[in-house]
Amino acid sequence: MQRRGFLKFALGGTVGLVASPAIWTTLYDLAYWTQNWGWIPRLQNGEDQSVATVSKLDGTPLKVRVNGGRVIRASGNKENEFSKGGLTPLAASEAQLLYCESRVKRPLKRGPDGGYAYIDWSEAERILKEKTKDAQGSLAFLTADASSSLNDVYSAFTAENGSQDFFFMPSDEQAANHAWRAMGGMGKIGYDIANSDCILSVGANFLDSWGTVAHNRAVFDETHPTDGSEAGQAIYYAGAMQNNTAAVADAWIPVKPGTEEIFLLGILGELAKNSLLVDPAISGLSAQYSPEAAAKACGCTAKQLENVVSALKNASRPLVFAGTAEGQSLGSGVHMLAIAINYMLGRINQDGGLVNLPEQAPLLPSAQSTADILERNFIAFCRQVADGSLAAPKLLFINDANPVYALSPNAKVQECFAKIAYKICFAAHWSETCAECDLVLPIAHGLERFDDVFTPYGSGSINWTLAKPVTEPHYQARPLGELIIALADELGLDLGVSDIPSLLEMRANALGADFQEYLESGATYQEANSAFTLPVISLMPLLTKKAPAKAPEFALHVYTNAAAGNPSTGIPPYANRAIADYQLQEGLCVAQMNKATAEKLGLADKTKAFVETQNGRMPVLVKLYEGIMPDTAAVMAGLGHTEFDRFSVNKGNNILQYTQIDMEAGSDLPVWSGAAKVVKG
Amino acid sequence: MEDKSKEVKPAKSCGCGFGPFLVGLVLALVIGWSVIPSLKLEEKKQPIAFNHTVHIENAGMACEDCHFLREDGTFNGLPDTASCASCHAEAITESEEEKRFINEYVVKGREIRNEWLVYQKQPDNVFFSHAAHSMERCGTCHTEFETTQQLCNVCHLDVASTTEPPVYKENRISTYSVNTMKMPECEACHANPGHYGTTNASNACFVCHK
Repeated sequence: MQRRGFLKFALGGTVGLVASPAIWTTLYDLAYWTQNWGWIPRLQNGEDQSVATVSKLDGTPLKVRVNGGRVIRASGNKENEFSKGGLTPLAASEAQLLYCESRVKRPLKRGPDGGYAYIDWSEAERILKEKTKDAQGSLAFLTADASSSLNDVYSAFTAENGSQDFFFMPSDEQAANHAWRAMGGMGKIGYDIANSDCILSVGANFLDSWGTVAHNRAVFDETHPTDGSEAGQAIYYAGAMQNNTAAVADAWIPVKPGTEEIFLLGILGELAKNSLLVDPAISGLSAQYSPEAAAKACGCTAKQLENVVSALKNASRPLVFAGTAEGQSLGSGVHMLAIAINYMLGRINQDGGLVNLPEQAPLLPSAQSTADILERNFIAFCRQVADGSLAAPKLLFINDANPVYALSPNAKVQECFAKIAYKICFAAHWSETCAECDLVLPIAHGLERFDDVFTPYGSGSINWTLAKPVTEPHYQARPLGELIIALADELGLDLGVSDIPSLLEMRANALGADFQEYLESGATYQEANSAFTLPVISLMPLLTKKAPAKAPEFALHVYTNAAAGNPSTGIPPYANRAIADYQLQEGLCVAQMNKATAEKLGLADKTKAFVETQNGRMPVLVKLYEGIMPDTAAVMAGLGHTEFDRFSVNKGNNILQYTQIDMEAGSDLPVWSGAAKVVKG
Repeated sequence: MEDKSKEVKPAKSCGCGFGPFLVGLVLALVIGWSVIPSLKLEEKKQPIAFNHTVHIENAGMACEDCHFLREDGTFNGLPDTASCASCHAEAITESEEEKRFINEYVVKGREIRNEWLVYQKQPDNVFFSHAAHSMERCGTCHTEFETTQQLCNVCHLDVASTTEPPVYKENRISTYSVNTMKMPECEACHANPGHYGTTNASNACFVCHK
């Protein structure tokens, strides 16, 4: 072939190749081939398992999907009779929280310059042992989780070290149990929501963030069929905001923050009318506010209040309870009034009423009872240490609590911390409180350890769900329970238990439950409320209460959103997609109010303003929302973190640092005040 | 001096014309359409010659017994050794393949689905939800699908009536199966304007790529 012929042949070949798919599909294949380069991350597929456990964040029973030892997803447990598969936003974020970048990965020690340096565990254990030995008799211990049986280990350890200063973070539970015990309740206060046919909740967002939410939602599902048949339970919600509970309630009764006691007094007065039950405490109290006067002070109408009373009277199993957003206790007064109303309705220790949950004896010889721990007041402790009326402990242990973020400046947490010689924070996630401590130790996340949820506040019966590790602890995290037991051994203290599974087995034995069965199934043990010990309710403590303060002209309502996590988790990764964009602006909170209120204040939608409290002035963005009652602004808590990770830091502002805490006369329990002003920016 | 004007010029070689071009063209087309594609593919056999027909017709099993949606919406595409061992802990037929499966997988605790070659395996960055492509979703409008199997066969090889698994053909360059669906096939539905407003079959990137 001559040159010209060859060129023609080559040209033909080229045209042929171009016209065939060879080149193009090879390019396509090469594009796919690049996905196989070694440095590109691969999915790690392995054995697929579904493990039953419980969320340690809010007690929701879970089924966790684990693949090759790696947690993929937390779902509700449909086989669990307590929650019936319900899942809360906080429990759903468990898998993300396990791997999120705010995890404390290694022991951290603060240096002289205030910065933190990684140390190894042997060094951390040496410091832990040395500091605990030095602090004999002067150790304080704060924990955020009041429903764990591991508190027996922690409180026994505190007691064995010669101290009784074991605290829970402030909560509704503290105030409610104080009221319950003051009025004659012998165990723990319980709310039999499942068996009630008419519920009045004053401030307790029990279908979203108060009590046993997953269980409460399962009850709601059962009592509110979607097939058009009649609901088996009426719900009345009294509060400042149309929240998730109010949205599905039969009636939302607007009640201004700070007037909850007045509202309950109005109900008590109306119930006392024509009642054969004559009690000097009730007649004395009910005389303070007629239904009309109470309604006027609260911001609702007398008709609304009378309708609630009528519904409660006509129901066969009514239940009345009060509550707030997490950690925002209103003191014991509201709970005493709620107990008094249940008493008037004959609902103490009845199915669907307020029930006395038998006190469980501590599992360990030196452990303190839950009731005794609840009587201790962390805020009062901080204030006394800060003002010098109480000697500061030499050592403070903090278990996954975040008081520096969650408590208002009135609690004087920082001043108290400044007087404590050494502070050790055991934390799964880096928080504002970690940043104030001398030693930060990584502890196992709820999905990495043995633990339990034992009759959390808001329960209507004794119940118990076991948590078990679904994966090995990540990074250098260690389960705190095991760490404290080992520390006790090192110090020669006998706590009476060798490891956490043995402790949980003790709990199972105390309840008469089969440990292995509950461990494997993830079921919730529930004790029937059949053997009630009827407490003799005394209304006399009510007489010691001062008349409620006058209703504030304008009030601040602080609410929580489960998507924003809790003070110990920050905003879980991906959960901020469930929070509106306008809530997440840097340094700026959103004050929601209705149009009439905004106009009265000379404000308009999306304008800047300030919320003023005794603790300062916080810039806010006004957002109109007709689900807020008049003369009230609602601000979401859980934002404005300065620590955790990029999903939490500088998202919004922290209203909790502006709210005011007063101490309730008589009980010295903290009362979150709603007093505030909103002024033009 | 030589008279150059008398030189005879050689006749032009026509050995050419369109001949060489056509030869080159045809040869390249044959190579491009047939030889190269077949050279790129490596044929592989499944670890066990699984017989779908026997399981469906003789054992009375349904597709859903092995291929089902889990409670959380994920899809159990392949049964594991333990599931197979619930019947085949010991040999129940005379089949040599069954004996081999028991000896090599059940007895030794080897996981069959780790070795099974998936004809439709997608890259790690593609998230396909079987739950979102169920009869309840697609079959509502596409009434041409009378059975779930028909819907499955839109993407998958119809193996229900096979007595042994089809040969697995792996691309030597990309390492994916020749049957793996590519984006244009996904977009046949996802980019179809007929789906807009009536389904959630958006063609946005993050619908499939996470």
